[in-house]
Amino acid sequence: MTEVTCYVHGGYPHSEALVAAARDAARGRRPAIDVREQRCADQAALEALQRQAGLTFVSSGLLGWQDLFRPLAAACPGWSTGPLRRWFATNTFVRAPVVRGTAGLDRCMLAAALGKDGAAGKAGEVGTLPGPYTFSRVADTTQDRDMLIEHLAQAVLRPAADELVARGTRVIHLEEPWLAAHGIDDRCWPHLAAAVHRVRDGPGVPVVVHTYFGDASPWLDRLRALPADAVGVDFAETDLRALSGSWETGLLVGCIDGRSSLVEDPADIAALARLIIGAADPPWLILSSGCDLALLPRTVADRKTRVLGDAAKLLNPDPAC
Amino acid sequence: MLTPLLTHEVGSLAKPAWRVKAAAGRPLDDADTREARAWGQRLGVTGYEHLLDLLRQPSFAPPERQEIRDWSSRYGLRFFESAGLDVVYDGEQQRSEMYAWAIAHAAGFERRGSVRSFDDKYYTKSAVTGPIALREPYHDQEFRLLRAAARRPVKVPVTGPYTLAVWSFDERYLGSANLAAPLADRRRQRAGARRQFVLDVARNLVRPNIEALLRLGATWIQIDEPGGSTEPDEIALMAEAYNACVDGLEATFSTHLCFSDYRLFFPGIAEMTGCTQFAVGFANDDSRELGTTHDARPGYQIIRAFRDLPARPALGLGVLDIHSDFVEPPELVRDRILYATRIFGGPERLQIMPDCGLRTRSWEIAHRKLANMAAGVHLARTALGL
Repeated sequence: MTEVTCYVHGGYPHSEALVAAARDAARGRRPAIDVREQRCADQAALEALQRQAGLTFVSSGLLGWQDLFRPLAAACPGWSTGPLRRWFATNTFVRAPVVRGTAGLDRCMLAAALGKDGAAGKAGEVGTLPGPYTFSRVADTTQDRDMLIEHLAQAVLRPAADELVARGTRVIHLEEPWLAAHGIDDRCWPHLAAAVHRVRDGPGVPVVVHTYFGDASPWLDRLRALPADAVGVDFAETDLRALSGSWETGLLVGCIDGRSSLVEDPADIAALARLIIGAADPPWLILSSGCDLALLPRTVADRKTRVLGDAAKLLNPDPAC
Repeated sequence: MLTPLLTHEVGSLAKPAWRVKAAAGRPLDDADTREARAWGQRLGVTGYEHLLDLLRQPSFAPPERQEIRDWSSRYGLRFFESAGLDVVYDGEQQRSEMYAWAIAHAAGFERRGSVRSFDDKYYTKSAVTGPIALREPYHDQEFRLLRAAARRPVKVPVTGPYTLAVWSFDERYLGSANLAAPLADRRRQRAGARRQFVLDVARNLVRPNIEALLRLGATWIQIDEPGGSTEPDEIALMAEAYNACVDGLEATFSTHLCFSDYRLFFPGIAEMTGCTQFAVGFANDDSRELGTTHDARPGYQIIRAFRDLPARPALGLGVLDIHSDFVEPPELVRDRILYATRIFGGPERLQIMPDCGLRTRSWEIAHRKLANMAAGVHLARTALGL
């Protein structure tokens, strides 16, 4: 029997009010406190939306994160941020973390960023972090990128996961778009497996490794062999026929398109999920988006979030979902 | 067109607070007037006192708001001229933003909302929902003003069709995807829908807008494609759309590309045979150390690929990092140019510019950067015996 849950991961769009506040603050027309207050209001609205939609876990939406890497890089002494890099095939850019030396994350610094007055905002029940493989590829570094996969897991992601869990996170979501978008060499898999193990072994919450922005089918067998509680697949880019055989690990179904403004029909999502359950019979199925919803305007993302909850209810009328 | 080390701007410049407030109907204060006076004097804007009189009014009717926008254009023009650039425009002072301005003058689009680009920078994203058409030419008014006011040749930046399409949502050509359908079928449908979308933007929106500019006497059009490498397997489509905009038209056409993995553009952009200059940002990825060796200039390694394009277009060499307040010393600009000159075997096909528009910098920083760029070109010319 497949347990069905649902959540949104990663970044979430800013409201028009927050956009206006941020723009005005950047131009010196409003104080920075206005941005912080509006972000808190956005945070509360997002949390309420997810509760009303019936999502299993509530995400923070990373509303205070400038990109997926910034608060982590800022909490690693000696690191900095580099030039803008296009975030895969989108019109969004991140600043590559400049990874220098062997020092890792200072948990106190991250705690301060996630604290009440911190710039990163509160942690959510969904604790999104960059996946170690993607992190190692995006980083500006002179180190061996393959060795960096494990180092990042041990020195950065694990202490970050510990801090998030201490603040109420109930699932760690590792974003691994690079894997599906650009592929992965055979030699990297042992490093990735060890890195996932390193993050998962200790915090005591499920760890999901989520691929998107590309076809995951060439990697499915190796992905589901990772020591993760669930593996995420973007079905906008992956053929569900690639899900051959019975799955013993959980499966995150990326079924909401974070790059399209067209809002999905909950019945279509539920029908897709039933097909996937029939094909793979995973013990745990998570309905979610392919990429995160940060690439959409807030109102569109909100509608898609409701669809996610509605689809889950069609699959599992239990109000706990 | 192939003037060695010709200098020009690329696109947008920050809008002065007095222009922004007036356009938004917000009250101005003394600081705004002081700013208008200081820059008017510094840039040598003839008759700027009329602007000051205008700004002292308690409110602005639509004609007065347009007059203030026109003053902003004159300031922008003098900004670039006074910094020493050879070819100028107004820093897109009349336009709301490069994407939104074009879409606002097009039929077939509906606004969807703000989307973050990076940090605290956002843009307003629309969706195509109906047949695409030009409602009215959207650069004619500014061009008339600038051509009359400019003391140097002007180049008109126009947002390119691929960028307009890829920065929009598609609610017309593709429709909702059936995720249960075979992926190969879905990909085929996506590619077909995207191609039709991009080419409709090129043929029905951008090209007629360019034709209107040419009728007014524009001689150099820069088609901006900052979204050009968003989808690496669509470079050929970007090139096809570029050609659809310019084929058969008589003018100098160039393009601007920025903040991408430029390797992705090759060999696809070789098909843009009507493009006489590729204006490309490099300083963003370069070292700030002086030197003309390969190791000293990591941001410029890729220029070999532009050198080897079969049509031998000029390269607009980006030498100013527009994302930083670091003011490049003239010597650093010089060394970037000298390195590129060596790679190109001479300066004939090199022209000099910032990496991109400077709208995220203050006017003070932007002007210092551009003045140093012009000074760096002078140093390079001297070193090359030009």
